[in-house]
Amino acid sequence: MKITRKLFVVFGALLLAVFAEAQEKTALEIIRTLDQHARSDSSELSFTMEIFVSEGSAPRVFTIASFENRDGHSLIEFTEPRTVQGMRILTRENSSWVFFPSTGRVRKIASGSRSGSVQGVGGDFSYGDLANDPWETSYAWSKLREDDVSWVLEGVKNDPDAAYDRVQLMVNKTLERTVLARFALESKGGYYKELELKNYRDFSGRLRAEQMIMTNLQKGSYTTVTLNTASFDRNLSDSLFDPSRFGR
Amino acid sequence: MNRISRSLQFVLTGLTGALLTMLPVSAEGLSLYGSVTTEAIAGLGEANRGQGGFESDIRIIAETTCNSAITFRAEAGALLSYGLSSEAAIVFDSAAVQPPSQLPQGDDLHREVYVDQAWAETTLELFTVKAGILPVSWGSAYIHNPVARTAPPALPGEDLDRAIGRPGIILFVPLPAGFSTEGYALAVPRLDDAVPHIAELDFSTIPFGTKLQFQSPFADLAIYAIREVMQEGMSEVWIGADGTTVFADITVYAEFATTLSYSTELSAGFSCIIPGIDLGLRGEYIHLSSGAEHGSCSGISFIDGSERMLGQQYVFLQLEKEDPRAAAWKLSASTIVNLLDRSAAILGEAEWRPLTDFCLGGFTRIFTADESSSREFGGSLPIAPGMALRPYRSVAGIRATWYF
Repeated sequence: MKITRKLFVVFGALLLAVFAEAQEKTALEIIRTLDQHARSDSSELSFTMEIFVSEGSAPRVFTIASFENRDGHSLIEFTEPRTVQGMRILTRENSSWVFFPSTGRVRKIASGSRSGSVQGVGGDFSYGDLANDPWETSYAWSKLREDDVSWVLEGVKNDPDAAYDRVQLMVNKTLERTVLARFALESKGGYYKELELKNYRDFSGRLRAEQMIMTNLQKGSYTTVTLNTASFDRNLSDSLFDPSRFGR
Repeated sequence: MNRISRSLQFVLTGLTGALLTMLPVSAEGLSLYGSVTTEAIAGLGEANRGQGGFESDIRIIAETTCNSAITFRAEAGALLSYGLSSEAAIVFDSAAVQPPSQLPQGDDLHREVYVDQAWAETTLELFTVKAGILPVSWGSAYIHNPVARTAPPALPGEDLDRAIGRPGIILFVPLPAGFSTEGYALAVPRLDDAVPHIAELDFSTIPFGTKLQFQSPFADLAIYAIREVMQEGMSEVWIGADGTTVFADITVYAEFATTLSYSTELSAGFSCIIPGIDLGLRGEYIHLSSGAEHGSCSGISFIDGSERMLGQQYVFLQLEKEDPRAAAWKLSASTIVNLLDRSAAILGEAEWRPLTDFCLGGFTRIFTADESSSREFGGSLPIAPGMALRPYRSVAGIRATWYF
């Protein structure tokens, strides 16, 4: 009887372990969840970007409007300062076009430029960071570790047009949102940028980080992005995401 | 350079201002901004020693959108130039053109008031129409665009942020599957005639162009048919094509145009960021079949404004490094070489932005040809027996720009 009870306990524990394993999310499932949360039928955001060259330095302030449609195509427009006012960057799949308002010219840019900072703006966010590409298609993901609070995943570039060679994400289990991201390029000696996502709150029915801080670990510079307004599932015109029309 | 043209520009500037004050209250924000750029230069080399120049450019931009479908944009300014900075002074220095002994009151050849753009645009479901003084920024090349045939020819690399408009209308029609088409018709040739007359808008003299474009993540491609009118009665039909693609993180482009008499122009180039050091590298090869073949350029077309690149083959190279942290400084070095006469322009520039809206800089423009030669960059270009124009003078200068 005693033996039967012991066996029952062991079997129960095994069953629980198997059940728990079945409940454990794979890296790909987590990434898909992140992409799904980031994606909406469409979004229209406005945010303020402050670039700090060093700790305590006076920031350079930019304001940016951002649009994204259900296909993941994104458009950003600089509204301040005067030096870059009206400049727009359209990203579709892994291609980007830049519109210059003074000349009315649209130029296609190389995806390699997407890991570099935005021309005339600088800062620690690259064209690729601003484009908000889906994680799943750009990197091959594996789970590095997890604890009660978070998962830590690593993605290795599997799309030649991805902005980075490797990316690490720390994902909060309760929020199912990224709270820390690290970015690596072999040419920079490995992980060299870190993005902290803070103050998740409701914006038009969606949970979004109100503040993002991108730090360059090698240079000590950092850039903060504060989300001012956000609306989702808006009826955005297709022309906003058309390379031949986004400058009009 | 002439009174009527300047008067017209004053009128247009006034009309622009008046239009802006009359815009309906529902306009989605009138944005008024601009810049003031002031530069001082000093001549370099034996021939230019002791000479100096000064230039101030005040530019104002106004933009507004009404009812989400109508956009208005104007760019206008005033350019004051003295000494070596004045194109007119350099032309008068050649003695080929005599400075006028007396100018009408109020006229000043140091001053150019310009309206580069003043247009309104409406976007509807099926098309976009734009009219007014508008730039036609066609072509994918960086230094020389063979398919851009509406504005006066420009010096290679001259103020790439400025687009000179022409009065006219542009119609854009989006098509399915990444295709689109665009066409323009203008009221004036590339070089203005200051005196109006009835026959100037005869259909046979109107500049126009059409293009069919395809844009995709893989490549942007376009074909063109253009009637260029350099001056009234001097028209030429051009057929052209261009394409841009991205290959191994390098943007590669080529642009080509030919007349029916096989006068051809070609620009082909690349741009990339060198990984690791974040250095911008750009190169372009330019071929102009109408240019001087054997290293002796004539200055006549330079004076009348019909040509700015006088040779047949050029190579342009540029290295650029920007402060990756906050775009607080930028260094650039570039050269354009006339491959046939072996003369070169070497341009260096350093910019520092202590504030987001304030920029200080220093620059040099060095031209390698001996002034006694007739080579393009630095030489004296023959105009008539005993007369020559030396348009390029080596200088170093400082510049300050305020954005407001």
